[in-house]
Amino acid sequence: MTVAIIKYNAGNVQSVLYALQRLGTNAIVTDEMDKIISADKVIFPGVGNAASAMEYLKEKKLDKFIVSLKQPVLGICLGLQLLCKSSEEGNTKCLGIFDTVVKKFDDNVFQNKNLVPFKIPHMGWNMITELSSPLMNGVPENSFVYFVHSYYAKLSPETIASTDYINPFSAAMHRNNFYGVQFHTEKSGVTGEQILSNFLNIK
Amino acid sequence: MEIIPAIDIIDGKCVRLTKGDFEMKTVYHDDPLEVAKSFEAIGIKRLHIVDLDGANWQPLKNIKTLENISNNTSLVIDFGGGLKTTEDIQSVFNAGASMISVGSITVKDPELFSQWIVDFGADKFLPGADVMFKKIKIHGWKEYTGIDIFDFITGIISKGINQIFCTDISKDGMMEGPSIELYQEILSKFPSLHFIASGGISCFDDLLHLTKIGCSGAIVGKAIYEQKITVQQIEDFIKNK
Repeated sequence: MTVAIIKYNAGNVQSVLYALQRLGTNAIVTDEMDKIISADKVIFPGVGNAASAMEYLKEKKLDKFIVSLKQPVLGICLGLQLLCKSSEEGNTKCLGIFDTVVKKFDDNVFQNKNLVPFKIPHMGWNMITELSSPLMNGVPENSFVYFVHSYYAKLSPETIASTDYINPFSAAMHRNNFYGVQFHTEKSGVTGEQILSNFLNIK
Repeated sequence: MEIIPAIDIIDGKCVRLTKGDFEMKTVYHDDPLEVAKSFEAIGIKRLHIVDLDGANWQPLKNIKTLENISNNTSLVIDFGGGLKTTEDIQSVFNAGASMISVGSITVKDPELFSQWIVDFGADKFLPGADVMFKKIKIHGWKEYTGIDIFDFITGIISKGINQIFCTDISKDGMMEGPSIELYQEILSKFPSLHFIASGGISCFDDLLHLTKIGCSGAIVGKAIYEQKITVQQIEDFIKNK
């Protein structure tokens, strides 16, 4: 099986590569369309800022290309956000696969009556619930996964895992051949491994 | 609160220094990967790696160790030690670090540091404040800057970074308990900051205390290696948090 990781910006995908290696799969990191199109699985990682990432994808003509892919595609972190309709980060129009929008966490919400504010970015391990879709096969409800983000995708019918930090939001999404996870599967222990492995096994 | 074990490395081996002194080092283990795996096995999720050779002017000497650990565990690793150039930073991310801990550079070359934030993202950097009497020290605690800790944190936040770890130099490696009062003062001034305590943690109660005052994490070294905090206590803490 061939796995292509879409290369863009100064993205750091080493830990995704390592996680795939632990599952016995080697991946190529590339921005060449012919290599991406011929891969069995495509991973769309995300690093940095939605606006500059979309700008880069457009410049490389990867925006329309990614939307046209037919094999299973997994967006990770910003990757998930870019697959949504739009992001409040730089008021950016995104790829529009998932029918929901990406919003900034409200930094005026307090955790308790002592007025301790929620800390942004959301950084750490949270439980995922209401799991569905083959991507979540064998993953127990309330498993912990690792998040680092300041923006979140709103819940939608395409949500296949939800979590709650400040407010409920989409931890994972699925539409047709497109999957997205807000958390870092590669840093989420056995749960992350199971989800990555599920993705690799999707027909 | 996350327990973040510290692995300090000299020449590929796990060591601990007392009060930052290279002459006062203890080798705890020859194989950092084994140590990291033993942490992961008891539920630890993060790791703080300090390349002491790097801090001592030989940057990247222990990058293989980082690569080995990030390749063979899913720990979220922050790595630091004398990184000076953008190439150094890229190499460390390529070796699988999730974050880079930075100290001196934030004071000595703030323009370069700002460029790194643009290039790699604000959440990729974990600034460390080494503090003595509320003032920042840099370069392996040798150089006094006169910068006030609160001004330092304000500066970091203005760069878009919302996390920091703070070591009270007078407490590190002494196992006399962490600087609760200083940390409380910081947390009251910056309640939204992801604040990680470091240095001086000597027993299980210290962990409870730091949790109570609102720390997001605690970097623990010697207390784990010398079993002042036991494996059982760590497992219980993680289960009950």
